[in-house]
Amino acid sequence: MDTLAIQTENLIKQFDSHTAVNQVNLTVAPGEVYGLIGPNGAGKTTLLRMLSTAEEPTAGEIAIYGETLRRDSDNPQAKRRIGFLPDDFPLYNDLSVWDYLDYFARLYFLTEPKRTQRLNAVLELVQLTDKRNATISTLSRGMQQRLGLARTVVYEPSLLLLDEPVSGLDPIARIQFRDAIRALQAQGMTVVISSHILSDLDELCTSIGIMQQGQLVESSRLEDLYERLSSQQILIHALEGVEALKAELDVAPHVGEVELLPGQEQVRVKFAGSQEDAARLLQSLVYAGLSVTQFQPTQDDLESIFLKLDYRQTS
Amino acid sequence: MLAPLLNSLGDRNPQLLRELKSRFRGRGVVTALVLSAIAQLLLLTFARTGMESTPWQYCSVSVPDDQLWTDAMWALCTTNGEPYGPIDWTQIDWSKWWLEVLTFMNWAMPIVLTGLGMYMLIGDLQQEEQRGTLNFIRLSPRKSANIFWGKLLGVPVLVYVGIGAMLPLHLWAAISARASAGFLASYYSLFVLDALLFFCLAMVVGLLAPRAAKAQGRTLLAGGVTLAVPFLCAAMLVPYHFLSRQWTVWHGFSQFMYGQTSWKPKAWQWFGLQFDQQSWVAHGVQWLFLGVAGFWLWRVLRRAYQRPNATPISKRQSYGIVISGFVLLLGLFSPFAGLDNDTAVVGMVLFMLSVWFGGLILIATLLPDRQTLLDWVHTRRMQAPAERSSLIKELCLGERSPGIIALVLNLVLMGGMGFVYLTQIPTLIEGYRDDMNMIQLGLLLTLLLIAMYGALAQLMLFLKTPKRMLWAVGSVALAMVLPLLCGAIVSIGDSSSGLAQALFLISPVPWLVLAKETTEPFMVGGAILLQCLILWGLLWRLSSALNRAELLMD
Repeated sequence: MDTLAIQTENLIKQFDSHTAVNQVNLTVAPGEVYGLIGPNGAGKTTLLRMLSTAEEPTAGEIAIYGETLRRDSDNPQAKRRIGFLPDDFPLYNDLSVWDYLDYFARLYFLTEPKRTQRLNAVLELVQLTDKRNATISTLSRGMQQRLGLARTVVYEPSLLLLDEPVSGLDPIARIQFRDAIRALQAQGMTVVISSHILSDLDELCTSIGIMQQGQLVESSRLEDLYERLSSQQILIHALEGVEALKAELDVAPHVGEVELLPGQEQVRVKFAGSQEDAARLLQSLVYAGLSVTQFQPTQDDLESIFLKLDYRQTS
Repeated sequence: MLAPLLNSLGDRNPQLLRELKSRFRGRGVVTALVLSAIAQLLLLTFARTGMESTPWQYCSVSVPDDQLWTDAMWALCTTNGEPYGPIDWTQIDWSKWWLEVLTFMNWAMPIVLTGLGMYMLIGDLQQEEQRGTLNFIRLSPRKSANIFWGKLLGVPVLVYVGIGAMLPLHLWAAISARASAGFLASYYSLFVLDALLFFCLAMVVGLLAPRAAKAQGRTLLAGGVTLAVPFLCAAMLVPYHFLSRQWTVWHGFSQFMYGQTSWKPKAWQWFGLQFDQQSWVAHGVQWLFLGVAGFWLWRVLRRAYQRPNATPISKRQSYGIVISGFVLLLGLFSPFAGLDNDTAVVGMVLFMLSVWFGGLILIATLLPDRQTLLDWVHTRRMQAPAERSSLIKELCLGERSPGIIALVLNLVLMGGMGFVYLTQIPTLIEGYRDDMNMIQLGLLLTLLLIAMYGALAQLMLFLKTPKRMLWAVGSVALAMVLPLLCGAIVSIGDSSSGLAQALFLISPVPWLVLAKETTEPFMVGGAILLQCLILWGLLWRLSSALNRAELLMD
């Protein structure tokens, strides 16, 4: 079995009497894109800061690719593996884009000719090639955020920790950022990303962890989460009216609760069957003489699952 | 040619390259060079004007003592032999004039370098810490030393350029003033070592000041420190440092530093090593002093950088600093090579001041805040009894445990060294026996008092209020001033009042009472007992607060 990219054991971070992270046991396999969700103040940022070595835990252990982080050490080996992009991304406004990336590449011991290759590659990745000579202070927020990502990956870390990387970005900048993360995922990088934009995580992540009150209350692969918690619903409309429709649905297999949508001649059906079963249901309604004008199966997305779980408490 | 050099430099030290890219730019370099040239021009102009107004000072013929401030003095080195006549340049001893230029530059260059360099370093690190960019550098695998050297060499680079441009004139002045190569080697080596030491101090301040300012929500504090610390160091510490060297390394070169004077100060010794007998001994000891100070400053700097939330010094470091600091200091006043009365008194006063100064610095740097103490309580609570290290070991050496026991241990170390030192002196100096008892009692009272202040500060630092640091400073200041003030008020009416005496005995100046022959022994004993009781009460209170915090965690 591969060494885990991240393994924490009873990780605790206390700020005065407030426990920001409480007994977290997190495991992330190499190559995963792990999404961290939870309400504001749930402890996501503190957890990421501890994983990045920016913050010392009150108690507990962190191992990055099998190497346990030591409190009395610089942890240089682990630091080479970690790339951390915090939610605030301070930059050196007086430097050019190229000089800024060059400085960080050198800090991580990248030498020529690889350094120039990497700088060109990351500028292309974050679509800032044409801004290489621009001074950082002249870049837009979206560009600065992408430059932050470029800085984080320039030395090819194995583990990327991203804290709210797309907050405050416009939709186009978000798409560009998402594309960049997908490209990094394709390169085999392990990514842990915290975000409130669940649709983004839905698209990017292979696993999801939910934090509430400093605890990791849910951690599983995205497909398992869907399998366990996502329900299928079907919106149906028939010209004969809702009563006739309801009468047929009451006897149909795999159909759960039938809800009449107020003000519309439509019903919402909770459906537990497969796609084939849904097709058979449509067939049976048509055979029963109903003139079905709408038959729209939908599935709970990540946002619905998160709201359904009702993990809304901060730490 | 420059590009490959910079590239190779950047591979070794990216921080230095980053600083040079940001600062070593055309306009800045030209400005530094122009300012340096103007300063040199002004110096030469003033020196020349000075010579024209008092030519007798530079005359190859010395003024006889009986002609001082007479017309004969003003007639020296004039073409017509008349007082205030035109100067006869052929009679001028230019080496005297160059000596004046050299002496001025010897003092001005370190003061300018220290003041400006420290200002830049403190400002730069404060800015990095406040902006959060330093955190990114911290996360890099580069060793902290690599980053510090980059900052040290890169941030004040324009000051180096300006001072570097002064060196040709300095060297020329030294040659013209017939300064020996030995003096120049000594001066330059100590110039560089001093600068390194002050710049390390600047970086420590630059890292710690924003933390203190943030803890108190006072950004002005950081700004004040940026100006105040370089000013104090450049205007007071550097001149003091240089003056003190007339007794040590520059004892034999005093004319190049302190001008032409017939007065020759007495040379000091260190554990019997006479500074005036062999110059290399004085230099060796001086380098040892600077080396030890630099070693500890570097360790503190590394800690401030690596562990931004920890106390400025660890418990282990505190013991090392106290032992090495006091050994170095007491060595200067050791009775090995015979100690005269005056030097012994200076030594004792300096020792007492160092105990105070050292004690207060330890209180400010060794005591952890509430969060660290809670973390310690939490960790101990989570550990199984078998995993837990002993409480005594934790309190003496632990990283997050309360610092008061370590402070007390440091005070015991200071006291131990002090008592050994004091018992050596009376055997050599007659007539000091009686006063020695008073001094030893005073030392004991002082040590107990500092321990009391430390316990009070630690208790305040455990308060829930976010302004706990302000509370700690305020309460210690009050504890220092209040008994003194009350004692002074009570003694207005009755100068021999027992209450006033008792109050002075628990104030920072117990000497006011101990020096009196009428002081009763039971009064001193009572003061010691009272201080012990207060200390015990504060420690008990701290222990209860920690226990209560542990209970609240359940």
